[in-house]
Amino acid sequence: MKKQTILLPLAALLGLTLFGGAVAGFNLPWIQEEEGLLPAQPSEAAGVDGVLFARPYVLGESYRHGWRAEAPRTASGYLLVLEVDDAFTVPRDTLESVLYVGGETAERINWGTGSGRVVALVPAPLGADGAPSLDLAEALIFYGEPELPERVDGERIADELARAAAQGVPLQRVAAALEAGGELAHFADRTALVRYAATLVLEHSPAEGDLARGLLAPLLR
Amino acid sequence: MKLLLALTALLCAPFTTATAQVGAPYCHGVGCPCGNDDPTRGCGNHGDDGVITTGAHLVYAGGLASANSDTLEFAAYGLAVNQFGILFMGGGQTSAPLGAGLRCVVSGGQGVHRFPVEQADFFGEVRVTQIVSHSQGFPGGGPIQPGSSWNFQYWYRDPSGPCGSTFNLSNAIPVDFYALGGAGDHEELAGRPLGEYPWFEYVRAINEGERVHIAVDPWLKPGVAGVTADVYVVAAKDLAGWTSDPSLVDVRGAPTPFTFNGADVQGNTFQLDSGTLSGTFATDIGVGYDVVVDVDGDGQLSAADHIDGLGDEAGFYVVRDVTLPGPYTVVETVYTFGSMRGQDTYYPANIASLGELPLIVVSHGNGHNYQWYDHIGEHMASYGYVVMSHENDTVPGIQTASTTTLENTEEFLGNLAVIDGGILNGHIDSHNITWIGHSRGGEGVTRAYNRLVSGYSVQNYSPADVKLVSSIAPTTYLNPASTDVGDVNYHLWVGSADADVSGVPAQTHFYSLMERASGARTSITLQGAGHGAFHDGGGSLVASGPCIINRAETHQIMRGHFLPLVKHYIDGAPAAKDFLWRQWESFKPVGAPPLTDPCVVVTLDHRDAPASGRTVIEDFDTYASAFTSSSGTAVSFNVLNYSEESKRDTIGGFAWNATQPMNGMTRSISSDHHPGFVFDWVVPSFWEVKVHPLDADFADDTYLSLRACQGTRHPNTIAVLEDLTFMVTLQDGNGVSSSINIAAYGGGIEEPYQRSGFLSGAGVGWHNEMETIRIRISDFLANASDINLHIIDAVRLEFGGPGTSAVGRLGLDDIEVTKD
Repeated sequence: MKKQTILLPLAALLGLTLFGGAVAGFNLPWIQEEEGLLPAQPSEAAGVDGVLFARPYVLGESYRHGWRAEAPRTASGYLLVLEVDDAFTVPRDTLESVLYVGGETAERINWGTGSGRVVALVPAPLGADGAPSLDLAEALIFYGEPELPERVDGERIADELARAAAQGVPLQRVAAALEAGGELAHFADRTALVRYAATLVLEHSPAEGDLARGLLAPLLR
Repeated sequence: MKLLLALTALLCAPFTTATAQVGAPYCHGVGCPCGNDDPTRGCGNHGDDGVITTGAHLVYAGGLASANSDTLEFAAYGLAVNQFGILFMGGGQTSAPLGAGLRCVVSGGQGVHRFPVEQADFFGEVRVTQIVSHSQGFPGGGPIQPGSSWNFQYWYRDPSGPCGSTFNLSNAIPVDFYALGGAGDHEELAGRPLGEYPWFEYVRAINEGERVHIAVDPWLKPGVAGVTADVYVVAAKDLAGWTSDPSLVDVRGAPTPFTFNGADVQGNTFQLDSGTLSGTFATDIGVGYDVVVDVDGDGQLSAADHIDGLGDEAGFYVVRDVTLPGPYTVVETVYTFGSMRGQDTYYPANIASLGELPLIVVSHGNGHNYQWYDHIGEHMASYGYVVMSHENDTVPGIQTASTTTLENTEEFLGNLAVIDGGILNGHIDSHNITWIGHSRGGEGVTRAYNRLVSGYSVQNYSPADVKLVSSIAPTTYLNPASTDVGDVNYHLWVGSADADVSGVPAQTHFYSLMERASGARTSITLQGAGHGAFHDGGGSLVASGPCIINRAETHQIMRGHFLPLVKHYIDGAPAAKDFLWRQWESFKPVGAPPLTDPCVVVTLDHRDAPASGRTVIEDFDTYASAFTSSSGTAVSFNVLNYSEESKRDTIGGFAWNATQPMNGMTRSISSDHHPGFVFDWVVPSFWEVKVHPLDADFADDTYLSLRACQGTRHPNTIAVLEDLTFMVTLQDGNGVSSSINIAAYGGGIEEPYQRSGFLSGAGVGWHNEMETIRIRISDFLANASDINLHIIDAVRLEFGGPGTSAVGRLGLDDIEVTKD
């Protein structure tokens, strides 16, 4: 098909649109359009503005944390609801920024699209007190460089953490979040944990209701 | 009984391939009785020149290898002046001393038969005609019949000849006579007329509502020339059906009489149907019909008639609007087996009465949702497939996504008893599985198949059960070895307006997945389609570029091609294949956006599996030299600025740069090596590859196939921004050539999507879109081209001549001949 490409300023485009229909045989220029371009993701460690909810949990059955290269088994951790920068809330299939909490990669249940609120799971081993041994008040929480989490190993995490510290990523105030989250939760397994997390998505990020409802589909076993 | 014998004789011929013809001469004068060798003719003689190192030469002198036309002629020269001789024929070949020469023809179970005595003229030459009619007086199996094979040699007196003998023999020539008395074993009749040579395209599929034509080339079917005959459109029968019931019953109510008195193809082209034939039956995408020219007017299929569709495959198929739903009401059910085991399954409501149905598994992309593929699920289930779209673990990466594809397939097949009360139990054909993935899920399904073949443990299916892997706008994060799908059938969707997996950074060089696939493979590129257009979750299209097409248009195209794709690879439906390679401009799903919409541009790239019998003439993979083909033959050309190397754009942007000949080629990453050839022209130019002698017989092949793309942002591409066209020429060993303009079939090589900006550098134009061109080999015979398909010597592409693109920049690959 024969084509002409013209890059037009908006004013010219408007004029062409108004005038074009009256010109017999007019060959519509191939005007460049954009529909839903993805925002650029900052490469500097940043992006988390606050912690709204933090609840420790323990599972009756462990699972593999596939969001880092070593894929360690985990049966405990923290369920967080974070306020994040809009730049990180648009899903994409090219690389996304990895969310870090202290020395661990976090599993994002949602993107925060339309709400700026992300529900995340942070694996943490159980301490002597029977609760996850992660001091959120001392943990840097940030988006690092774009990467596939399954390719991020301990060495990369350490590098990202050091970079965040060097860039002055602030510690978060978590007392209110811990109070909002409440006491240690016990779940039978990952499935139960994720279904609970899905209810938090519905509550905090209703625009991602499709995602949450998909996680809450009738359980057949 | 007589009819049965006749049909049996017809059926013995290979009906699915092209043409039978005069073969290459054999049994030249080597090892002659007394050293009187002549390696280019028969053994040396006294002959017409008195020189015993030159013998008599038997040559093909014209006409057709047709049992009906009786036009075949031979000539012999170098004979003794005014001496007598005899042309004789037999079914077998040999090489044994006889007189001063070599006997090259023996009975071979068919007898040896002598034609009337000839006398050489003053120049030592004879011309032998009326071969077929003379043969009809031969005893036993001597009369030449359609589809028979014979060897011919000339015996002659040579009173002063060498070796103390008074007679000698020429070389010999084999002839395969056309089956059915016409041109070609592939007896094609139905199709559509073209505006230029070869004037008619014989096709397999015709859209419902479109007109059906037939054409007869009087040079190839001389038995029909001048005849008035009824032409029937018959509900398709297979071989057994025609044998048991040769009666002709026209589905239109009555046959149409035509008089085939035109002098050429275009003069013998007629409209057979105005678009009344139905293409809708059950879940089939097409209804098969056979076409019969009832030459003898007896209302039966008999040996004198011509038929398109005698074999298992119909003569042609009228195909339904494949964008419309099929006959079944669809049930959708959503459930989960646990974390990353959410599934959305679609199946026919009446599945309990449908036996086992093939399974299609859909793996969504990152940020997408397993409930966003209704357009695939509902459409395919309405045609009798079960579609399961599952939650996909894409955010961590491709490995995790592939695990969810593998495990959800396993979980589904292992839990049929509990899904919707067990209604699917016993109704899933686990040996016919299609995996479709979108974006990270699109790369994920290739990784999943690679892992499955490499030993990933599952209980409910095996690698052999996955028959098709299809990627929609896939990423390419992993190394080539990890996503190599080997020889499984592979398919790729690309949206050229994709603003996420755009093709620009190497991690989005989606075409590399297809290039790596070694089995059958197909890509469909949609200009104007964005990343989000392929799902139905709403929201942004994630698109950039001109003329962006919306989600509804994209889905119509997807429905219209997914159904034939799966019908072809899973069900082997003959009607489906045309959707995989024919130019969009000449054949597209009825309900897809109209050709009048300039924003809808679809390019198809298809290659058959090696096991299909395709023969590679040149794919640039074996020898680095541009002057040597993959088959080891010579390549010559005078096109400009050429380069033969891996199809890889190594610079981030698509701005034209003369130091980057593979600009716009996003077909190789990392260790990939997928070479191709690029070049340009501004004056009439050519590129030619010699055909290896072992591959020279094209008569048994069906299509000459190649693929090509325009070079994005190149000055020559920009200069003529439209479909690029060129001539394809076959040349035989006798120096006879036949040429076809690829534009004859509609379309051409599409220009790159006119997209600018977004990481791509200066200028306008996106990635290079490869497009397949297939030309039916028998088309080169049209209107008495006289080319001999048995001895093809070269394939030549000619650029810049009349009727073709004056200038251009082209990427070229995979020149081959195919069986289908």
